[in-house]
Amino acid sequence: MPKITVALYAGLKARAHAPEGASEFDLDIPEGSKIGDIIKLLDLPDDEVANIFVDRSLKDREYIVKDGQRIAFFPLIAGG
Amino acid sequence: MKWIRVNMSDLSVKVEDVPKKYEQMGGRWLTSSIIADEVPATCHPLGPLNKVVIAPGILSGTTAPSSGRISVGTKSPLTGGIKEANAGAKFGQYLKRMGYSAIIIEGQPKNKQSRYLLNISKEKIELVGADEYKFMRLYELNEKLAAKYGKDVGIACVGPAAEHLLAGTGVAFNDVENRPARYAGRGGVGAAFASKGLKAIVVEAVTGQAAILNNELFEIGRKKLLAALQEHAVTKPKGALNTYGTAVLVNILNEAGALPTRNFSSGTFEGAKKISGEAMAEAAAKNPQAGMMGHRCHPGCVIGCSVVYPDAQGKSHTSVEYETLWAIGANCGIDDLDAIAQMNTLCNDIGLDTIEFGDAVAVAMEGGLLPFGDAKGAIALLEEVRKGSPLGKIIGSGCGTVGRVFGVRRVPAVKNQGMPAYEPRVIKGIGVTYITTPMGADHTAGYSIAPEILGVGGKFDPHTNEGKVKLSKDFQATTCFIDSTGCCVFTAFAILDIPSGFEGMVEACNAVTGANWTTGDAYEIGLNILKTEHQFNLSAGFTQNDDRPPEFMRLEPVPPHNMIWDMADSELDSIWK
Ligand code: SF4
Repeated sequence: MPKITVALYAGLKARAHAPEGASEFDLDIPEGSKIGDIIKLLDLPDDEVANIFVDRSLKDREYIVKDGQRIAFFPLIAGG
Repeated sequence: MKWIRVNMSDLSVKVEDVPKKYEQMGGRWLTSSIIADEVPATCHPLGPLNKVVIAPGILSGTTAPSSGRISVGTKSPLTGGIKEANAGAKFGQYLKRMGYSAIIIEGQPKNKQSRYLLNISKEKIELVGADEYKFMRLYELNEKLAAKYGKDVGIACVGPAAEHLLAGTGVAFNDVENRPARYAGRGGVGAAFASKGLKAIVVEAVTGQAAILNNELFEIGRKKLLAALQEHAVTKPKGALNTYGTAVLVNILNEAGALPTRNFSSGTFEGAKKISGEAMAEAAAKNPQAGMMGHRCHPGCVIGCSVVYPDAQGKSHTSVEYETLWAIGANCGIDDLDAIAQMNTLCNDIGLDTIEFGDAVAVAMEGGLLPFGDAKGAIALLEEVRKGSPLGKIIGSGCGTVGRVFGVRRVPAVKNQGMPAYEPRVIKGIGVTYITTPMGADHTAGYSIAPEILGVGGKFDPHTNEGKVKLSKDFQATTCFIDSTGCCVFTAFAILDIPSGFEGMVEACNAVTGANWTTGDAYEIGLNILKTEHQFNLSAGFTQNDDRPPEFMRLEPVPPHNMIWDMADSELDSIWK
C-alpha cells in the first residue's frame, strides 16, 4: 500500500477526517488512488479544496498519487 | 478640486485649482503624472529639484468599499526611476473630504538641520517648525501628535532612518489606533520626504463623504463592488484574508517551492509553518486582548486583512504582513515569529521598509556579517540603522548597497530594488513583473501570483514562460488603474473573478469624476500610466538593460525545482511594444 504525507492548511485540518489536531500526517492509500479519491478518503469538503500541490507542483484531482509523495491541500486563499 | 503646493525653499504654502488635465486623476495616476510633468528626470532624488506628491485615490473619502488608499510619488532614491508607493489610511480620506486631490512638496530648506510639520485643517494650512521631533521614533511621535492635534487626526511621517536619507525607507501613515504602521514602504519614498525637511503632515479629521457628481450612479457602482467583495471566498467576511491575513501565503508558497529562503538560495523553508498566517491566527485566538485578526488599515475597508500579533510576552505587534514575515523570516533563515514581529515593529518605529530591510540583512548574512538565522544580530542592526552608524547606513540603503559593500554577487534586486516574497525562477509571470515594472522589483505592480499559484482570476502554469509577458502586462495596466482609484489592490482578487465588481468600481469612479469610462477604458488608462512611468525612466537614463534579472538567476538553479530564469531578453522587451 503506498504511503504518502498529507498537509492541510488554512482551516482544512478542522474540516477533514484526519488524526486529531494534526495538520501534517502520513497516510496509507489504495494503489492507484487519484487526488479526488484522497479528498473523499479524508472527507474533505470537495468544493472548498482549491489548490493541491504534489511534491511542490500544482496538480488536479485526476492525478494518481504515488508512494512517498507529499500532497498539500489549500482552500481558495490569497494575499500579497 | 484643489491641491496644496508646499515650497520648502521659501516655506510657502499655496492652494491651487487643479488644472483641467489632472481633474479626473487620483492616486498613482496623479502622482506619476505630476512627477513626469514637473520633475526633471535626471535630477538628484534627494535634491531640491525632486518633488514628493501625496495623492488620495479617485474614490478615497467616499463610502466605496476598501477605497482609502493614499499614494506617495517621487523620483526614487533607491532606483533612480519614478516611484509610487501606497498605503491604506484615514489620512487620504480626510484630505479628499476637505476637497484636496494632492499635496505637492517641492524645494528644500537652506538649513538642512531644520525640521517642519505641515498642519492641514479646514481653517488653515501652515508650515510650523518641528525641531523638537527631529530623529524621534514614530510610535512616540504619533502619540505626541495625536495628543497635540487630536486623536482622530491623520498623520504622515518619517522616522530617523529616513532622516538619515537612507534609500530603504518609507512614509508611515497612522492607523485608526494612531500606530505608525501603514506604510507607503518601497523605493525610499521616506528619504525623499525627509530630504524636504518635513518630519510630518497632520490632517484634521473630516467625516462625511467626498464630493460626488452623480450620487445615483455612485450607489449603483458602490453596491456592485461591495457585492463582489462580500461574495468572493478570498475577500468576504470570514474569508481567507480576513481570517488569516496576508501571511496565509507562507505555506502555499513553500508548498509551491517558491518561497525564497536564505537570500534566494532555496524555494522552501523548513520553518515556514512557524511563521505562517495559521500560526498567527492561533496566537491571536489564545490572546484576544493583545492580538487580532481582521484588522482594517482604514475605516471603510470591508476586507480587513491586517493582523495584530500578540507575542509570548503579550505585547501587540501591528500589521505583521506576509512580505515582512518572509523578508525578515524565511529570507534570513529566521523562524522565530516573536523576533520577526519585534523587528516589524522596530522597522515601523524607525521608518524602514521591511522588504528592503529583510533583503539587505539576507545579503549581509550571505556576505558573512552575521549567520543566517541570527535574529538577535538582525535586531541589533536595526539599532545601528536608527543611530545612523556607518554600518546602519549601509543596511538601511538596501540590498544593492549591501551587496556592493560586502562583495556579494547574489543580490536579488531589479533596478536596485530588492525582490519581494516570490521566487521568479519558479513563477515566471511575477518575474516578468519584477523585471519590467518601472518601479523596480515589486510584486504589487502586477500580481500574476493570483492565476499562477492561487487559482484566482484564471489558471496559468507558473513554471512556463508562454503567455507570461502578456499576463504581466495586463496585470500591470489594470493595477495602475486600481492604484489610481484608491481601492486596495486586494479588491482585484474579487473583481478578477466577478466582472460586475470591476464594472462597479469604474462606475463609482465615473460618478465621482464625471467621466464615462468603460472597463476597457480603465485598462487603457492604466496602460498609459505605465507608459508615462516607463518614459520617465528612459528620460532618467534607463535602457532596456535595466529591464533584466540579476545575473545569478540565469546561472544558478534554485532547489527544489532546480529552475533558472530562462526567458529571452527580446521577450521581456516585447512588453513595451
Ligand atoms: S484589504 Fe487589507 S491592506 Fe487592503 S485596505 Fe483592507 S486592511 Fe488595508
